[in-house]
Amino acid sequence: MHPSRPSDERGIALVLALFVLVVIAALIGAVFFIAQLEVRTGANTVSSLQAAQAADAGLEYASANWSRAWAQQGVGNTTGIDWVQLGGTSGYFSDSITELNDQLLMVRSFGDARDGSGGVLASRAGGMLFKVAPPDFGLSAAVTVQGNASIGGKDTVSGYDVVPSGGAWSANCASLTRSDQPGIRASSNFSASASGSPKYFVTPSSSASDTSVTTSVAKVNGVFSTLEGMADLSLTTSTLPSTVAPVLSGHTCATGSSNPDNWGDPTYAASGVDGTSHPCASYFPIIYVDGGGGTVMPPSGTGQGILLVNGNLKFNSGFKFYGVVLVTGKVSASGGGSTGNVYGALLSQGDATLNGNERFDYSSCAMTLAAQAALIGRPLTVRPYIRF
Amino acid sequence: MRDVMRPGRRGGFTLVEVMVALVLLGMVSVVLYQTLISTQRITDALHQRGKMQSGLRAGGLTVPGELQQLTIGSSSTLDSVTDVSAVTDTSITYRAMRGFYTLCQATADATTLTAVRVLPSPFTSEYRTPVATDSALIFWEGDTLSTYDDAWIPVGISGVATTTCSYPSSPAATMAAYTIGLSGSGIPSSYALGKLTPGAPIRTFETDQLLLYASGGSEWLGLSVNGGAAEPVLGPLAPTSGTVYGFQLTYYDSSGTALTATSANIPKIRTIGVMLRGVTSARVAAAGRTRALIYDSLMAVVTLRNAPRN
Repeated sequence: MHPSRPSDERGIALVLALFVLVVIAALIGAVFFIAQLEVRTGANTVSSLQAAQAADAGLEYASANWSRAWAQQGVGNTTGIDWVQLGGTSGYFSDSITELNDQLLMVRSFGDARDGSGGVLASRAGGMLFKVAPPDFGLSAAVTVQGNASIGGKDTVSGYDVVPSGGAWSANCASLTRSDQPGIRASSNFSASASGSPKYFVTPSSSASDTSVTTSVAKVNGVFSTLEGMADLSLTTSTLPSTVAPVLSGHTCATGSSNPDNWGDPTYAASGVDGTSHPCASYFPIIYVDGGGGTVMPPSGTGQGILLVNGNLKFNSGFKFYGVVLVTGKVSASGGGSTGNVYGALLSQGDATLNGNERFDYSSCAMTLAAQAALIGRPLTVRPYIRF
Repeated sequence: MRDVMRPGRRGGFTLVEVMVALVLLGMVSVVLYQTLISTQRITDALHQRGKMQSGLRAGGLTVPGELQQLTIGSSSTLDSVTDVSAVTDTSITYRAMRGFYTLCQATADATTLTAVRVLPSPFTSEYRTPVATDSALIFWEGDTLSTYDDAWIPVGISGVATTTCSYPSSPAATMAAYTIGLSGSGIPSSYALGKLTPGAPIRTFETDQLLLYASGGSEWLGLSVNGGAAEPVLGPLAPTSGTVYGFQLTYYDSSGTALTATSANIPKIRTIGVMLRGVTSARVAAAGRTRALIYDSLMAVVTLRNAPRN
C-alpha cells in the first residue's frame, strides 16, 4: 500500500510566492535606495553650508583674535591657526595668515563639516584681505560719556587740542593737524555743579544729547576685544600696581607682562645711554584691567598708551596718562589731593561724575600716537573678501 | 490494495483542477505584471525627481558662490568699479574673478606688472592663468596708516607671459611669475606708481553672464563667457509661465526692499535672491495612472560680501 505523499505533488505556488517576494523586496529596496540617495544628497547640501559657515567663522576669529606677530613674521611668511571646533557642532575651521607686505595680510580660512568620527563631509574656503592700521576710536572730545555727565569740585575738562609738554611730544606732533573739540560729549544730560570751580572749555564746551556718542561707542566696541587680546599687560584689581613708572633693563626698556609697573615714559623720566636716550618713550603699551565687577583705582605715577578698563574707573591718586582711556562702566573722580591728568581722550560707557581735582585735556596727538603703536588688522574698506 | 495497483490515477488532475490552476496563474501573472510596471514607474519617478533636485541643490550652491564676491562700486573714489554691468529678472552680467595674484616687484612702468599667482584652494577650479581678454584690479596703497584712502585701480590686460622674479619675501625667493601687459596707457597717472608696493593684491576678471535661455525645446540656466554663446549650467528648468521663470533673480537694497531690475538700480543692489525652478526631463508616474512632469524649486539669497556697507 502506497498512501499519497505530499512530496510527490507538482505545483508552482512556492515558486510563484518566492518570485513575488523577490519582486516586492526589489521594489522596497529600490524605494529605500532612492530615498537614501535623496537623504544623502540633502545631507551633502547641509554639510556644504556648514563648511562654508565654518570658513566664515574662521575669518571672524582671525579678526577678533588679531596678533601683532602676524604683521611681523616677514613678508611672504605664513602663520597657521590649528583646527578649531565651533562649539560642539560639526563645524571646524583653520586659518592661515600670510604677510603680503608691511601693510597687508591675507587670511585664508578653511572650513570643514565633519561626522562624529572626524571624517570630513564637506570643505569650503574663504579669504579676507586685512590692512594693519591704527584703531579708529572715533573720539572727538576730552571726555565722551554714554549716559549723564556731571562736573564739579576742581575738575577741568578741556577740548583744546593740546600738545602735551615734555618728552618728545612737540617733535612727534609737529606734523599732525589739530582741531579743538568740545570738552565733554554726553549722550544724555550734562550738568555743572554750582559749588567748587569746575571748568570746561571750548565752544561748545559741552554737548549734551550728543548723537555722535553712539557712533564713538560703536567704533570703540568694534576694537575693544581685539585690543584686549593684544594687550601687553593684562591685569586685575589685585595685580594692578600701586605705582607706575618707566623701567629700564640696562639701556633698553623692560616691557611686557613681566614688568606690569612699566606703562611707558611720556615725560622722559628715565634716561638710557649717557643720560640722553629715553628707551621707554616709544613704549605705548596696551593695558587691560579687569575690574571683576568692581571699581578700578588707577595707580599713581605716569604712563602712556591705551588703557582698557572692564568695569568702573575712579580717579583719586594723581594718575597721569597720555593716550586713550576706554572704560566699559562708569567714570568718577573725587578727592582734592594730587592733580591727575589725562591727555588724549577718555570714553565712559556709563555715567561720568567728575568731582575731584583732575584735568582731562583733549589731545589728538596723544591719541594718534597711542593708536599708531597698536596697529590692528582691519578688513580692507573695499573688496576685502576673496573666494578661495 | 486495488488502488495501489493503479498508478495512473495518482499523478493526474481533473479538468476542473487544471482550469482553476490556470485562472489562478493568470491572476497572479497580472498582479505580478502590474507590480513590475509600477515598480519601474516609481523607480523612474524617484530617479527623475532625485536628479532634478540634485541639480537644483548644486545650482543653489554654485550660483551664490559665483555672485557672493561681487562688488557694487561706492560713490567714493575708493572703488568706483561696479562688477555688475546689467541685470534683468532672468540674467545678470558681471565681472567674474578668475585669478588672484600679488605684485612681485615694484613697478616703474605703468603698462607692465610682474605678478605671482596665489594658489587657490581646490574649491576654486575656475581660477586660471590670465589671458589677454581679461581685466584686472590692482590694489593701490594710500596712506599706510589709513584704510580710507586705498583704491583698486581698474586696468585691461593686453598680454601675459611667464617669467620669474625675486619675491621680496623674508628670506627672498625666486618664484614663478607672470609678466602682465596692461592695455592702453595702463595705470592712470593719477595713481602714483610708488604706491604700488610689492605684495599688493591683483585680481583678474572675465565678463560672464548667467542667464535663462532656451535650447532643444527646454529652458536652461546658462553661462556666457565674454559675450560668447551660452553653455548649459543647469536644467532643464520649468518653462516660463507669465512672469514666473525657471531662473529668476530678485535684487534687494540694503534695507531689504526689492528693486526693479534696471540699470539705474544697480548701485543700490546689496543682496540677490536666486530662484531656481526645476522640472524632470521626462514625464513620470503621477497620481492614478497618469504620467506628468514633476516640478520643484529652490531659493537662495546671496549677500554681496564686497559691496559697500550701507
